[in-house]
Amino acid sequence: MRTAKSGDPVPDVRTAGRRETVEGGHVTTPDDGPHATTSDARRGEAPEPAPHPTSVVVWGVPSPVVANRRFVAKAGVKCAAGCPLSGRLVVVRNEAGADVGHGRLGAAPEPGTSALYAAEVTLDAPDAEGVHAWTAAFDGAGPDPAPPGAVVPGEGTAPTHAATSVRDALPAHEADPVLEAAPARGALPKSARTRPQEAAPAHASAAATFGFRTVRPPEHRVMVTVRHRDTEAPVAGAEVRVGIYRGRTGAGGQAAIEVQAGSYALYVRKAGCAPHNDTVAVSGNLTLHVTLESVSDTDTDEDQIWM
Amino acid sequence: MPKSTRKDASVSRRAFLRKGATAGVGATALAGLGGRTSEAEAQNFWDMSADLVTIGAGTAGIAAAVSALDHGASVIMVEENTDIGGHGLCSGGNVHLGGGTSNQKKHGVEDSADQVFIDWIRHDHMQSRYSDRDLVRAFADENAPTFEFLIENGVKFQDHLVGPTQASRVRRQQRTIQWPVASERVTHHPTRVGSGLIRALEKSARAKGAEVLLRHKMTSIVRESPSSGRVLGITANHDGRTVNIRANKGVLVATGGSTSNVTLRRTFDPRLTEEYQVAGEPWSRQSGDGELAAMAVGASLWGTANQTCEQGIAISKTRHIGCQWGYSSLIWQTDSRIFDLARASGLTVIDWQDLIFVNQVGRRFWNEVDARYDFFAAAMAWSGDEKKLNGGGPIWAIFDQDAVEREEWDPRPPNVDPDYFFRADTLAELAAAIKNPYQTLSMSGATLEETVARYNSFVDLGEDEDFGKPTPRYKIQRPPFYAAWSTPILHDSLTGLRTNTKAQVMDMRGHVIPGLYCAGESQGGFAQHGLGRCLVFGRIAGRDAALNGGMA
Repeated sequence: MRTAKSGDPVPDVRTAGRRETVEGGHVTTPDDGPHATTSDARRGEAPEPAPHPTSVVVWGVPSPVVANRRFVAKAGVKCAAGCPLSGRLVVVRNEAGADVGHGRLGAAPEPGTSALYAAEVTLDAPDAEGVHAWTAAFDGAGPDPAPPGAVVPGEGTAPTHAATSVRDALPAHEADPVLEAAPARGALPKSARTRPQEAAPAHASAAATFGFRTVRPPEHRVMVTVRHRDTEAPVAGAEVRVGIYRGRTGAGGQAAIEVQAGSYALYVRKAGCAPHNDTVAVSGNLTLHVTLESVSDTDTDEDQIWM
Repeated sequence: MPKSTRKDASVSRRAFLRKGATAGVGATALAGLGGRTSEAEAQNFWDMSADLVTIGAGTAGIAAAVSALDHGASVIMVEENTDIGGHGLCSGGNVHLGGGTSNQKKHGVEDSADQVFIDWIRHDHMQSRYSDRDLVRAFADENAPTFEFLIENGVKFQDHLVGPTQASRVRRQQRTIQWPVASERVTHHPTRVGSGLIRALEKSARAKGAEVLLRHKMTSIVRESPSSGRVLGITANHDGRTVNIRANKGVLVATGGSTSNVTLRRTFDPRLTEEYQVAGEPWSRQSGDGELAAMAVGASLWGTANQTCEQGIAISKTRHIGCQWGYSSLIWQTDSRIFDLARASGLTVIDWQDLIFVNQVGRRFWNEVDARYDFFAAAMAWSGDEKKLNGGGPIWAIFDQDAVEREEWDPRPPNVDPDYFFRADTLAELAAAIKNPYQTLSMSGATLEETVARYNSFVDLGEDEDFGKPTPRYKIQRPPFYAAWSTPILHDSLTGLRTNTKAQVMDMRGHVIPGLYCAGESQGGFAQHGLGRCLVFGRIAGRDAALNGGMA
């Protein structure tokens, strides 16, 4: 039986993502359904149900992020059968396979999802500039968050989404925190705590790769003011990009974006308006004014002279 | 006013069958009479008659009808649909006619028939390179008169002139004004103004005496013998009943092309397998019925290179995704009277940066921003299905909740079709959720995750190392995730039956088939997109049938 170990090579982001794990002596993949294993049936024993497939997603990762700065990402886990996974652990590993953060899945599914349970994970960006590929892993064989009779540290005191950095919670030398580490802190949902152990279904492990880019600390501030061309009213909620740096206008139609010196493509977008494209050279703090023009439903068809 | 005629169909058919003809009327049946039956007996075969019978009451058919009526002929239009109009009724009403029209003069555009001819035989433009220059000459000469013909018959145009477009080098494209009667439109979208063309011509045709038979599906073209003699009429099916219609002067194939006929379209491009939907459906189908019936009596195809000249929009990117028919400029809104057939409007894509395209196994295949034929070729590349080597299978747009919010989409029915749109909490589950009649392989969740992870890395890099999408802008990361049908959609039939310059259909030996005409997208030899050539050759056919169709 093999599980991911600290120090295992992490696949490159461009090929990573294939989840497989060894559960009960056979490899499962997300495409395997929760079926009985055939080896059990051949032995004439009552077949044990195969573990439920799971899958992991990571989002909310800022990119770029300044080197050495702390940031927060969300990692979610979904059981194909829709099982509640509250309190289960998600571990983040860097390219070298070192554990760099973890979080416990929240009490309720994420809004807009059917049964995706998510944790906020606080992470520290690496020193090195560049593009990084880290992995968020869910170990299906990990301990149930609250076996009957277990004493849950911090019961009733922690927030729903218990988030922490693994550096705070787990000794760096731990070989397999997923399997071995009990929850360092944080209460578990009552439903998880009271569920009979024998009723808990087995889950397959899963992982997802996510990337981000680290940059040197910014030197200058670019203030972009966005107004509507016809009304001259400020445009709130417009997406503003200065090269790889991004921001969003507030109620006053302004977005402040910190960048390094250089020449960048300026891109401003707001739904319902034609996007603005420009180039901008930044050598100090800068203020820019952008106007956006509405596009009507019919305008999107104007380039279609056909039929 | 010229009148079509009819008689008691049941009596005449019984009389015909008593003479020993086999069941299964049509070319073979009538030809079987040979010289053994009298003219009177043959006459009993027919239920109705007119000078010109148009198979189809779309743009070409109605133009031919009006033209024939203007020249003293009686007309029956046979239409399989529940209403007239074909693609023209849901079109953008863009009429490409020049050569010195009154509208061009009004807008200061200098043009001539010669200039139209020179433009549309250009060797340096793919929409003209493979054209039959004899047909183009006839088209050019009839351009301006056809525009004035439309004006005379009540078609109203918007007060502008667009272009130059396609192979034209001066402005020749004008747009009709939407028909004001909402109940007579099939779509009310402000850009779908083709109703102004179709309804005005229909009104004129009916006023001049045209008879329209709706829900009559042509089943065969009747010729004196399968490969010789005159075309005498057609057989049609109406509610399970056979109706035989005599054409005294001509039968016009105006069935709108062959794009909806998978077998026939694959004659010209074997890649175009069943998963590719067709613009204009589900309102009207480019069934290929006319071509097949004409070929059954000896007709030839012509100018087939035009179909694969990779210019224009014979193949088009799906712009309204997550529905079965998402042609770029034709959106089926809920107020359309055929919305129960269309089922969903689709999510209109404003920015192709908001999504990636994957094939049915979950792999990206091209730069999503591109819309050239290289994109379509990649979309139709082999997906890896060993049982389906032709066609590329479905193409899916993959995006996340952030994209939904950027585009301000509401990804629920009736905007999306549950058979063509899927949603899941994770990418792995999204892949597993994709079940569609055209999806021949299961999409691997791992493959889709890998594809998205790689694409997301390009967003961080600011460069698409695989397909050169300019500055990939948005990661696909925030749940839930979506897959929306985005398979390229087909449009023009740019090849079809061979005709001469009078729109008379010709056989494989280059001989005219007397009494058989063709116009519109079923006509081969000319790759111009849209309504212009349909109107010109429809008008030519109607006039020639009226004036000369009765001649041997």
